[in-house]
Amino acid sequence: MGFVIQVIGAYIATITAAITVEAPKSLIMKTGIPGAAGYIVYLLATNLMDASLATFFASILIVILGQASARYYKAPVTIFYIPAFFPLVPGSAMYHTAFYFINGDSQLAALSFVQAILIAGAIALAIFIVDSSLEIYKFLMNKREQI
Amino acid sequence: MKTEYKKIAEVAALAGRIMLESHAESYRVEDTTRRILQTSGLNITEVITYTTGLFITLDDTDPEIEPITLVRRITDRGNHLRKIYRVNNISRQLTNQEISLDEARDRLMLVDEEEYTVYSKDMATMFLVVAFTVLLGGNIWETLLSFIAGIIVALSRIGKEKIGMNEFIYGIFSTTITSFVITSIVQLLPYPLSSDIIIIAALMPLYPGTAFTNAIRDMLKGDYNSGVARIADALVVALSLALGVALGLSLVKVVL
Repeated sequence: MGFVIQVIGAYIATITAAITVEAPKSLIMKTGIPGAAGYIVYLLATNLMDASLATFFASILIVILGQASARYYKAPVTIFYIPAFFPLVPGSAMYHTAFYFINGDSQLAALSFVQAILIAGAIALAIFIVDSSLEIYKFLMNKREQI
Repeated sequence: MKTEYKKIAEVAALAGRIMLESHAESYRVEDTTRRILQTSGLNITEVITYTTGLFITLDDTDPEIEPITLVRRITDRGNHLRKIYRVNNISRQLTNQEISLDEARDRLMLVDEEEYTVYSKDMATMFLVVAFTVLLGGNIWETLLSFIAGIIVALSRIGKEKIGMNEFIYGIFSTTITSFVITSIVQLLPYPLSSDIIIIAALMPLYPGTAFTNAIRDMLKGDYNSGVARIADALVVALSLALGVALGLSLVKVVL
């Protein structure tokens, strides 16, 4: 039950994030789908592995769904990317960095800081991998047409 | 004929300026602008964009044609994905010759019209905080308390506009108040609640998600100039959020 509520929370969070970055009104409801789907993967994976690795797999799905939606709705892909990554953002790692730092525990603060960097890096890596693969695919398709 | 080229260059500059002001990726701006310039039929079209500037040149190998160069300085930038979407559509229609150049220019002039009122964005900010509390697994009391956090974040935006704070100060200001108020309330309430989740959720509307995502996409395309500028932008905002939380939490220690 808690799982379902969290996913609904992710959907609403993605939609409201889309409004705050002024996504086009006609596409708002659609931006929530990659966000919620990515968070489902994150929640399922986070029990089995490290948070940064779970973020990586969730981001891969978000990027694929985002690219697919962008092509389907003929809209810039960032409209789907930016709101959908909000649920995965390393907010808690960032908060804990500040929290432990204030409480004088610099070791835990450093650990949280590394965690935040790793999660941000995981999102970046997912975008790098999928976008580059798509470019290679496009390049090969163009080549085939020319022959 | 010359005036026609000038008109094309100006429409391209207008489209590029709107996109850069709306936080579009550099390669998208360059691509869109170049496509508009190519409708002129001239064979030299150069576009360079940085996050803070746009340079375009329209020229031809034919020596009869004089080159046209336009420079636009970009000062105000904000998150307006809707504008990128609309400029994208207009340029697509223009390059497919579905609309004329004059029509395209008139439509670009109208792109600035707001689709959302300021208050609907504030409401969205508030519900974003609440939804994040739910997403992070907060219980019913924490969710109710996050409404207060959402209201504080939305109100601090109004404060930002009243006294013209920059992003850095705004990040510190808003998170300091939020973390101070929420931690105080949680400590004064007799129930064992966790203030962590609510504060983390309250950070989210301020998180530099656009800058970060675009930075990665810019670097992927080889636009390191814009990529590094955007990473720096994201880091400065993230730093201000962390500083704000630290300030708020230490204030609680001093006061309570």
